[in-house]
Formats: sequence, structure tokens, C-alpha cells
Amino acid sequence: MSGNIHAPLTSGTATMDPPADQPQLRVASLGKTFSRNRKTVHALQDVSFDVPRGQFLSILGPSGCGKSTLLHIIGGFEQASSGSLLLDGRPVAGPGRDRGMMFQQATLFPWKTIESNVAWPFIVDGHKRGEARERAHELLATVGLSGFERSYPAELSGGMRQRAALARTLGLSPDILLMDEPFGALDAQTRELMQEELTRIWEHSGLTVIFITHDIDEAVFLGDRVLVMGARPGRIIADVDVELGRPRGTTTKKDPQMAEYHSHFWELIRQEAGPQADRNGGSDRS
Amino acid sequence: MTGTALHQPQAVEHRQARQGVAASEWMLERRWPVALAGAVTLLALWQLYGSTVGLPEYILTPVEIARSAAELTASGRLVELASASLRRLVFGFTIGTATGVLLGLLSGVSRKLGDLLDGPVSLTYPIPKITFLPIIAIWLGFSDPARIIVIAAACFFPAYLNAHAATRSVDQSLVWVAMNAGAGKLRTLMQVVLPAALPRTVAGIRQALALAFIFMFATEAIGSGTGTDAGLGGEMFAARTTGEYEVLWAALATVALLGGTVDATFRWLVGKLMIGQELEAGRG
Ligand SMILES: Nc1ncnc2c1ncn2[C@@H]1O[C@H](COP(=O)(O)OP(=O)(O)OP(=O)(O)O)[C@@H](O)[C@H]1O
Ligand SMILES: [Mg+2]
Repeated sequence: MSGNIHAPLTSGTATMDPPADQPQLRVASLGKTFSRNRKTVHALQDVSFDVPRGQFLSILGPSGCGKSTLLHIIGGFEQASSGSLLLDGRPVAGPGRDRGMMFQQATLFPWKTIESNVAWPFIVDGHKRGEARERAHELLATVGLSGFERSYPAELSGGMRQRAALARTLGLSPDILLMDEPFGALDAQTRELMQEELTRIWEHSGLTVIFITHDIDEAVFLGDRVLVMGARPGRIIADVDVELGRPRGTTTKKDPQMAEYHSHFWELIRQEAGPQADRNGGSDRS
Repeated sequence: MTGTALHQPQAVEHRQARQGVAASEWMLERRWPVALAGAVTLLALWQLYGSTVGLPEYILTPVEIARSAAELTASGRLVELASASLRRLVFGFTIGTATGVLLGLLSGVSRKLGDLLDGPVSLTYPIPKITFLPIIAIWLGFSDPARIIVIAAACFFPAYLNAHAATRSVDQSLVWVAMNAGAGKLRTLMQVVLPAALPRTVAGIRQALALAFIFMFATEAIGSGTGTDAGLGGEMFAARTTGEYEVLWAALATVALLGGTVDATFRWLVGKLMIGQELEAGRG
């Protein structure tokens, strides 16, 4: 299964819109090396893919294959060593509110209440305090956290903190949501609920989502498309469209197609892990 | 919230969260009675031992110390001694800690300033700060300014080193969150880096506070003045030579009481100021 470039869901309504054949995000031959103490790690090598507007893209890969690095580069937090990154045809220069990032670790400000955390980006944007608070309340309601406005992050469970972080990220009104294993630390039940909720929010928003995970079922259940990455150097080894109907919910999880996708991806990852160990035996210490 | 399915697990999450709060509240608010009980027990045992078995003449019982302290307070002597000491402490602590925190935060943010200060700091850090006193005394005599300089020097290091390390170790992703929101450099520094660095910086200030008491005492003990200018430290050494043990113990009790009160006030303030982070620490 090779890269399948999707046509954008929206055709140009205004004259300012980019050409219809242009993907929202184009990643071209992206490479990233880290050097420290004369040791070099090839975190990413020749990574290329396009993301059309409105797509839910899952990126699946083993630990250490460069998933976070890739997302940090798309977010503009880190710089690529080579290759290019085009957002609506323009090179990415740095972070921006058009790309809302949810980090792998909890990143709420522990000294602020949940409400102040979610309101903060609005204040940065020049909104009045009261207005920012109102917006924060609305967002907290969408993620099911009403009643916890005055709590501190330390008073919330892991799942609740991730909801709050999602609310804060949604408050940036991004075009693209970048999510780095946001449910990785949650227990299985909370995780499934968060997946369903994210699906619901995404279906209502028209957002483009790039969602990183190392959980095969999560990647398939959420995604329109799954990119599989291999490690050392981090690169894309498969690009698969997920042809499960929408809306997705509990019944989707029992769909026999889910199991097929699961074994297909499992096989890909297994193949990748096999020869990988031999090939990299001496060349790449990290 | 539209999905009804979310109702139940949220209740579960809610309960977990509240347990976290309960534990933290216990840590924050129910601790001092226990500490007080510990202190009272110790004093009671001391008193009991002194009045039944008996103690050497140079060790007084708590009741005797309290009586002596009350007499010295009534005569005004203890208050004068204590205010002479506190004046040195407050000046030395404020100057040393303020400089330390400010330079520490700046050098944590600016790599250039950090590298520049690294040399002088590593060179002077291992020197016992009390050795500065005779050197400064050559030029200022055993005077208040000399003592204040030494106290300030002692306070500088924990304040500087902790503030520096605190800013250096601020979680990168918190800064990225700020960048994502479009926050400028100054706003990120003031509203993200500084609050994130606060707990460790405050821990450094607390260490400085303890050192200020130690150095207040030590600088008074060496080349101390006479009369009330001696301060609590000077008075204790003088009382030892004249055998006025009740004065010695009264001064000691005053130092303990002052130090304890200041530290408790400080911790209480910190608890108010950094409630979110305190809760996190209590939970972790
Ligand atoms: N700042 C850095 N300096 C040096 N090496 C780094 C740095 N960041 C990442 N790496 C290396 O790059 C590789 C990819 O790291 P990355 O965090 O992107 O992996 P990941 O796929 O997100 O892993 P995980 O699933 O465990 O989060 C790893 O080998 C890591 O050690
Ligand atoms: Mg990662």
C-alpha cells in the first residue's frame, strides 16, 4: 500500500484559498540528526508525506523512532536538519497558533487553576480577563470538565488533565491539532472514552489532526489514514488508508476489519523489528 | 457534554481527584499541631528529667529558662540584644538573598551570564564564609557592616545556586506551550519560566534564611561588642565566661524562638503563594 494522496475536502470558496490540489501540510524529505558528545542520532531520515485538510492522520511507530521529533518539527518547536515543511504552501518558520500542540507529558501550568490554564492563551491573544474566562468555561464544558474550573492540575486525575490540555489547545483555534501520544499514560477504559470523545470533537470541528501513538488499535480506530514509522533512522515504512465507516464508536471496535488492520500493522512492525536488529548492529550507537 | 457514557467514569475520576486533595490538605494544614506536640513532648521530658533526676548546673530546665527569659525581657535587655541581632540578620539576609536570587535567575536564563558567573561562583563557593570576617574586619573592624557583609555572602550562595538551577531545569515543553500560544519572550519569562522556577528558588531562600541565623550568631561570637551591641550571640559567649548560665539559655531560647517563628511564617507564606505546586508536591 503506497502513499495515497487525498484530495482536499474543501474546495476554494473564497478567492484567497490555496489551489485545490495543494495539501494543507507537505512534509518533504525531512531529516533530523541530533549530535551530542560526538555521537550522532539519526532521529528522522527522508520523511515525506502530504496531509489534506480535515484528515485524521495517525502515526504509528515503536518507541524512539522519532515520532515526537517529527511532531515538534511540524509544530515549529524544533528545526529540521534537512528537507522542507510547507503549510498551505508556505515554509514553517516557528510555532504558531494555527498548529495546536498537545505534548506527550502533562503540560498544564501547575501554579494556575484549570480555568486560568485554559484562559491563558486568550489573555496572551489580548482578550480581557472576563472574556478569556468565559471562553475557558465553554471549552471546559466541551471536554466535560465543568465544575473543575477552580481546581489545580494536581487535584485532577491523569485523564482529566489531558482533557484540560485538550481544551487549552482547542482554545488556540488551530487548523491542525498535533497530538503526541496524549492518552499514552491513561488506563484502558479512560483511554477508550477519550478516543470516542476526541472522535466526536473532531467530527464536529473539521480540524486536521495528526495523532501519534504506539497503539495499533488506537491508530486504526481514530485515523482516516495510518503512517507507520520504523526506527533508526526514523522513516516511514507504510502509508495505509483506513476504510472503516464513520461515525465510529463501540461497534467499530467489534468490526472484523479492525482485527484485519491490527494483524496487518503488527506484521509490518514485526518485519521491521526483525532485520532491523542485524542491520544496525554496529553502525549506530545511541 | 453530550455523551451520557461519560457520566460514570467521570465520577470515578472525580473521586480519585478528591482523594488527592484530601492528602494534600493533610500535608498542608494538619501538620503543625503534630510538630507542636513533638516539641512540647521534648520539653516536658527535659523538665521531668531535670526536676526528678537533676541536671548539671550549666543545663537549666525549660521552666528556669522561661523564668530567666521573662526577667530579661521585663528589664528590656533581651529585647535590645535581639533587635541588635535581628538588624544584622535582616540586612545581611535581604542583601545576600536578593542579589543571589536575581543573579541566579538571570544567569539561568542567559547562558552568557551563566558562564561568566560560573568561574567566580565555583571559586568562592567552597570557602567557609566565616573566614571573610577577619579579612573584612581589617578594613571595617568588627562592626555591623562587616557582619552584614559576611551574613550576606553566606546567604548569597544557596539563593544563587538554587535560583540558577531552578531556571535551568524548567520543563522545555512548558516554554513550548507558551510559544504555541504566541507569547513573547518577556511574557514567557515572567509568566512561565519564573513561576515554574519558584519552588526551587524558594527552597534556596529558605536555606539562606537558616544560614542567616547561623552567621548572625557566628559573626557576633567573634570579636563581639559590649553591652546590647553584642547581640544574642555575643551575649551568650560573654555569659559563658562569667557563668551567667540563665542569660546564656535565655538568649539561646530567643534565637530558637525567632528562627522557628520566621521559618514557620515563611513556609506558611510559601504555601499560600504556590498552592498549585504545593499540592503537586504533596501528591507526588
Ligand atoms: N534533544 C535530543 N537530543 C538528542 N537526541 C534526541 C533528542 N530528542 C530526541 N532524541 C533522539 O531521537 C530519537 C527519537 O526520539 P523521539 O522522542 O522523537 O522518539 P519517539 O518516537 O517520540 O519515542 P517515544 O514513543 O518513546 O515517545 C531517539 O533516539 C532519541 O534518543
Ligand atoms: Mg515521543
